[in-house]
Amino acid sequence: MGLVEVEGLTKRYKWRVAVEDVTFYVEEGRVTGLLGPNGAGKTTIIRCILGLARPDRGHVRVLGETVLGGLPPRVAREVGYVPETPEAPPWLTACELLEYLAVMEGMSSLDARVQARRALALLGAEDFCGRRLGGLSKGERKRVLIAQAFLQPRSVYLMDEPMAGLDAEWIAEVRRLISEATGGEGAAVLLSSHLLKEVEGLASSVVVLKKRVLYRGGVEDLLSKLTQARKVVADVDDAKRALDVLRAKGLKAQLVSAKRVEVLDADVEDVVIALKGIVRIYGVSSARLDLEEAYLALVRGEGGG
Amino acid sequence: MAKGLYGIMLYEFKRDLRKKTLILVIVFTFLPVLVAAILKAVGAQVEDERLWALIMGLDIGSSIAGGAVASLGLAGWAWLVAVLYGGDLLASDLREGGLRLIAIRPLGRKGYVMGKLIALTAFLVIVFALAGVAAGVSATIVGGWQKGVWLAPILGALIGLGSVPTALIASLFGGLTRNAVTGFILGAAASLLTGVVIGLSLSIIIIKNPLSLEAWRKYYELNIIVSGAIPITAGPTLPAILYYLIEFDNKFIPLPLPLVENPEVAASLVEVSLTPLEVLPLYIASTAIGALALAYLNYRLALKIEV
Repeated sequence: MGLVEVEGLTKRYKWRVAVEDVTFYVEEGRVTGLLGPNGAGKTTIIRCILGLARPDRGHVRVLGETVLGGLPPRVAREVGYVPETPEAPPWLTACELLEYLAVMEGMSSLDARVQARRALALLGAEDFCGRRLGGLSKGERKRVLIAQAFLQPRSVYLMDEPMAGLDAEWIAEVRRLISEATGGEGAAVLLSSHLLKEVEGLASSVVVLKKRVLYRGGVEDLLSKLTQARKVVADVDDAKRALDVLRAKGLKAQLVSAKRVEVLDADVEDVVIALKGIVRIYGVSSARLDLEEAYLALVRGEGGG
Repeated sequence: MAKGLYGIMLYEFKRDLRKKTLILVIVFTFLPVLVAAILKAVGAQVEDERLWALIMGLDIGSSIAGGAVASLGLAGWAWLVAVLYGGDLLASDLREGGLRLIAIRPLGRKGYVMGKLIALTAFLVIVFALAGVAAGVSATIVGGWQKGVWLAPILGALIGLGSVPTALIASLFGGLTRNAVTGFILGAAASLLTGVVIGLSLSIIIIKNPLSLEAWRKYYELNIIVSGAIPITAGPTLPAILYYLIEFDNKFIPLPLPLVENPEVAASLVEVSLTPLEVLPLYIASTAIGALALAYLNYRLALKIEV
C-alpha cells in the first residue's frame, strides 16, 4: 500500500468518460510517473486525489485517509500540488500569493514571509517577489506555482505536468527538487507527464494511462518491453496507396513520407506479401522502435510490446 | 483554523481593495455632495441640516433640490457596488485558478467560503462606514451644522451590511455560471426587478382609483411591509428605517404621490400610519435570515464546484 491509493477510480463528465477503473499506488520515497497523451485523464486523477473533483466510482486514500470532497485537514498540510496550467490570481504578487497560502496552511505571518521567499528562491524566482502574477510569463508563473508546493516539506507531492512551459535550466532544477524530496525527505511523488523522457530517470514506477490503465509497473520493465518493439520500414513508389493496402489487411501502418510507410508489430515477409504487385517496393527493413516511438505506439493502442 | 481563516480573509480583502469598483464608491459618495454644492451655489433650497442624510440617500428630502440630491444618494447605489463585488466572489477564483490552490489547504472549502464571506461583509461595512464619514464631513463643509451627523458612519456601515444579501445573490449567479459578468447582470436584474415587481404588483392590486389618498396610503404601507419581507429590498432600506426611527421620532416622512391629473391629489403627501419601530424587526430579521440563507447556498455551491 502507498501514501496515495487510487482504487477503481472512474470519473465521467456528463456523458464523456474521463477515466475508468483506474487503480494504482504511490509509495513512500519514490516517484511514480503518470504517463499518457493529452486527454488521457491524468489531470482528472490528480484532481480526484486532491478532492477537487468527485469520483463517480472507486475511492482515493491519501496518507491512509479517504478523500471525500476535499483533503482532510491533517492530510492537506502534507500534500503539495503543482497544477498543470499556470493560472493564478493576476492581481497578487508572487510573494503575496505564497504568503497568503502559507498563512492558510497555519503559518504565522512572519514565518509565511520567510517561507515564501525561501520557496521562491528554490526556483530562482526571488526576483518575482514583488511582481504581479498577471505580468509574469507562463514559464515564470509556473515556477511560482511549483514554489508554492514547496512552502514546507511534504509527505506527498502531486505534480501535474510540472515541467511543461519551463526551459531546460529549470527543468533540471525541478528534477533535482523532486529527487531531493523523495531521497532526503522520503516523500511520495506522483509526476504526471505526456512525455516519457520527463519521467525517465526520475520515476521508479509508472502508470501509463489512456482513460484506462495501459501499463502499471516498474519503469525498467516498461523500457525493456518498449525497446523490444519492432517496426518494418518499407520504401515504395506510392506510400499512400501502400498505407491503404496495409491497413486494409489489418496491419498497424503509418505514413512517414510520400515514399515511406512504417508498420508496427509485423514481419518483413507479411509486408512484402501485402504490397507485392500493388506498389513498387524499393526496400524493406526491420528496425527497433526508439523509446518515444514505442511509448507512442503503446498509448495509441498499437502494441509496442 | 483561525490562522487559515485569517489568510483567506487577507486574500479576499486584498482582492476587494484592488478592484476598480472602489472608485465607484468614491464617485457615489461625492457626486451628491457636488450636486448639493452646485444647487446651493445657484440659490436652490436644500435641507442644510439633513444634508448628510440626503447625500447618503437615507432621507428623501422635502424640497425639489433636496429630492434631487437624495436621488443620487449612496444608499441608492449600494446594490450596484454589492453586485460588482459579489458577482465575482466565487467566479474570479474559478477563472483565475485561485480556488484549486486554496481548496487543497487545511482549511478546505468550508473555510474558503467562510473566509471570503466574512471578508466581503467586513469590506462592505468598512467601505460604506468610511463613505458615511466622508458624507458627514462633506455635508458639514457644504451645508454647515448637521443634525444627527454622528449617525452617518453607523448608518453607512448598515448600508454595507444591508447590501450583503444582494452581493450574495450576485455571487451565487457568478459561481453557478462560472462567469463574473453573468453574476453582475443577474444579480443586478434580481435586485432591480424585485423592487419593480413589488411596486407594480401592489399598485395593480391596491390602486383601483389613482385619485384615492386612502388607496395610496394602503399601497405605501403594504410596499413597506412586503419590501421588508424580501432580503434584497429589506437590506438596503434598513438604514433608512433606523434613520427615521432616530431622527424623525419614529415616524416616516410623508410620502409624495406620483403626478396624477387631479392637481389637488398631486400636491398631497401621504402619511403612513406604520411606524419605523413597528417594521424594524421585520427588516432586521429578513436581512439577517436572507443573508444567512444565501451564505449557506454559496457554501453549498462552493462545496459542489469541481475545479
